Amino acid sequence: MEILKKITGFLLEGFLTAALLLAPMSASAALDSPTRAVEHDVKAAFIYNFTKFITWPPASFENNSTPFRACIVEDMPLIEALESLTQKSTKGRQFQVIRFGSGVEAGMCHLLFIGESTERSLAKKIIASVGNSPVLTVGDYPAFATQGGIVRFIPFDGRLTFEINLEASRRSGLEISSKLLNLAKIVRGQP
Amino acid sequence: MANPFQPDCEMPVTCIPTRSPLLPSAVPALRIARIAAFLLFAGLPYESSAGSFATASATQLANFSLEELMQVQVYSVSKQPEKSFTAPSAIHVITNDDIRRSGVTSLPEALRLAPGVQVSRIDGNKWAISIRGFAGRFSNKLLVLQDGRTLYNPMFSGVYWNVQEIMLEDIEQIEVIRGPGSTLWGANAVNGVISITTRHARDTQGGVITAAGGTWERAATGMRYGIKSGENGFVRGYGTFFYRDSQPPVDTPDLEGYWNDWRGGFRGDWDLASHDTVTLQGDAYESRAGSGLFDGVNLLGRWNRGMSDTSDLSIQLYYDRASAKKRVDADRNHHETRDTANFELQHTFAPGSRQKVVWGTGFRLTHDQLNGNTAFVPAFIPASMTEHLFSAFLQDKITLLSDSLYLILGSRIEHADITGWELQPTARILWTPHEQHTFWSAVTRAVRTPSRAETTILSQVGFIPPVTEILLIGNSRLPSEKLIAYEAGYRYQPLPVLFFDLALFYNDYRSLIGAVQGLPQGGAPPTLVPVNIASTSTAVGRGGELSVDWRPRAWLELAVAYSFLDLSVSSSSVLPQDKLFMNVDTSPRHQLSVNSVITLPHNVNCTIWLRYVDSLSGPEVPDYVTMDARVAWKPVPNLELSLVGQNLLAAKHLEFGPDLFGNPAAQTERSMYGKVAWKF
Repeated sequence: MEILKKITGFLLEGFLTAALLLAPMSASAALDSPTRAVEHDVKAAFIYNFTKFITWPPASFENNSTPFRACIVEDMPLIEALESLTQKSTKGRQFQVIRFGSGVEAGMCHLLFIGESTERSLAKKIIASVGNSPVLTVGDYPAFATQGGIVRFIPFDGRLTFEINLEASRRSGLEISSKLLNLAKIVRGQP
Repeated sequence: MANPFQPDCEMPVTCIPTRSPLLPSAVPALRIARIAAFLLFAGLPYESSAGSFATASATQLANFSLEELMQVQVYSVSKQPEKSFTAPSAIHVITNDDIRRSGVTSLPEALRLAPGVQVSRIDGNKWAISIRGFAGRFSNKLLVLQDGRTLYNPMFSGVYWNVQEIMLEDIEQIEVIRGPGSTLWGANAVNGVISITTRHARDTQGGVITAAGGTWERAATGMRYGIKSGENGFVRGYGTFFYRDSQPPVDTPDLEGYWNDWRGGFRGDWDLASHDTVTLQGDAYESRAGSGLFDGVNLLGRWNRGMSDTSDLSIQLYYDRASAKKRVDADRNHHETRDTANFELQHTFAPGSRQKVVWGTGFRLTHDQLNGNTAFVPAFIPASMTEHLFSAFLQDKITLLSDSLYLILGSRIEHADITGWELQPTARILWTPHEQHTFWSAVTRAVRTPSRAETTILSQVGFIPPVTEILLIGNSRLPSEKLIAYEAGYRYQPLPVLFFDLALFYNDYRSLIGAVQGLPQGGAPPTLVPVNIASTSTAVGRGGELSVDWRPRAWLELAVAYSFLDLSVSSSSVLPQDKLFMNVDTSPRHQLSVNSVITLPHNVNCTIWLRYVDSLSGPEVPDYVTMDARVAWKPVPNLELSLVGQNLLAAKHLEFGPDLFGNPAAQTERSMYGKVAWKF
């Protein structure tokens, strides 16, 4: 027991010194480590990227200059992150971000994000209102696929991955490229 | 840049006086602040030369390929779920990640992560845990639940913390509500509610094996494995074992502190038809804590149906059996077996677009069998009792101004055998003028039902030779303890990486249960002096909690929590036992915690956690500053190696005073352990 205590004291000293020294070093040493980013920025980038691997039926755009409409329910940080991307275009269309609320119908969105912070009953209602319209529903909470959502973000080991509900995507009439499907975890989903 | 460590600095703002006459006890707190300031500022010069820490913006990320995006390390800005930002109560959520990164190995220690929670270790297996005062081994004004099953034991009105050690890796979150939660949670949610939620079985697929060993945490191991069950279901099973060393009390050898514990359990979650989900879970355990032997089993089932878009119904049933055999002192034992069956129904619906109603009803049956060592008291009369608890509640959230002003009205009505009908209403107002600001305020009534011990005990607590016996006598006509709580709070998130949460309260307690001396009986000297349990006191509690979560750099997370409590009790009793009964003066006036998590390159993670706890004045306990530190390394994504040091700043320190029988609390010793966690 005495020995253990001595070891503890010794380790403690080294430990504290190391911790205090390492903390300031991390900033300079971190440049060669993987990229880090805030969750909503990564989600925004994913959402923007998804649009390149999915084909919407031509009828879902009124004409050639119709912008691509990404509707976001409630999640303000995500909306702000996406708004920084509105200078960009996707497949020759302007990338537009719409805050989903009264006056916005699910059917007029090409992409609809419903996040964890949205109350479950409201989320269900919104997904139900999409029906079989060609809208890519994206979410990030466990029951999303069960409720009929198409793409769900899954946190894994400090990173973001995603799953695709094949059944739901078929119903929507969207064409999802095999590249996207290969990267996703596939779920069969509910009938 | 001014050096925060320079004692004779010229700038008055950064000068820290060596001793403030107003706040003598705050000096150790300042020490923490200095160390924290150092940790923080230490990074600044590097930051400017090296640029930002490879944090990519959304614009940069948009040019990444999907494969690259999937490699980006993600951090969320506010650790608190968004719902708790707009909650009309003082709430804090401890996440699975918080627990892992803190290096704590037991549930009570994990509760230190929440602002305003007092966690005082009594010995190796006992804690006094409370919120806003009245802390004791059985803190009777705090309701604790796990997955909807109450852990609050009606015998002594408190929690046997040594039998709640579920696998920490499987905890989804611990919701800590400061202030009464009586309308939604029922009686005994007086000063706060702690609700532990385990992870959905879908989120615990695959295996985890952990092994740890060290000076206090002698040996600990846990294993969990989760698989799919059918088309739409998931199940997991787990088993844990640990052996923790005793910690010696002041000046005496310790017989009560050591602790070993076996436990196993399962959880399954199934999606049935499109709107139905079912959960079934259970645990069994055996815990040897000092001379006490505890065992128990529980089984819980929950069925949830989304009836329509805005309506949700859930029904929950559980059964819990717990047995405790404890030594009271050299001659006396207490053996308690308790069976509890509980039914609850809850329904949420929206009548119109401006209202959201949640109502529910519940019934609990609890049966106990108490066998003491019959030659001596304590005895409980009767030795076996069946108690019924019926309750129903309704709460309506009314939108006054769309998206910004809400009124929440509700009440619970409850019937307990001992105290009859009780009403526990609440009125809350929530104002979110802007998404960065939340204001809330509430008035709530809560009650604490007298415990089985307080109503039925008959115990010798002293003997004055030659013939005088002092007897503690329970009172079956005790009314409930009552609280009217006035609360207000403000949350502010000026930046995505900065979050303030302030809560203030004024608690007005009535009918607090203590002890009075009865009329001595039988001549001179008397043969019997009764000490009667009775409602003796009123109290006023005032205070607040402030917490700040700040992520100044992508690699640095800081969580600072400060709480203040001023509790004054006025009692009609002059007996010293009165205060001991009520757990008066057992809570610190000031508490400060500074927790920093540092992400280093090469998958190394480091946590430094400083805590200051003010002195206790009941049975006197000096104030202390302590620190935990953890270094963890993930050589591959599925393997984590960690080294943890706990209570590092002193060889040992005391956290709590002696118990009712005068047995001193143990000193908490400095300890170290190493841990391996492997996922497969």
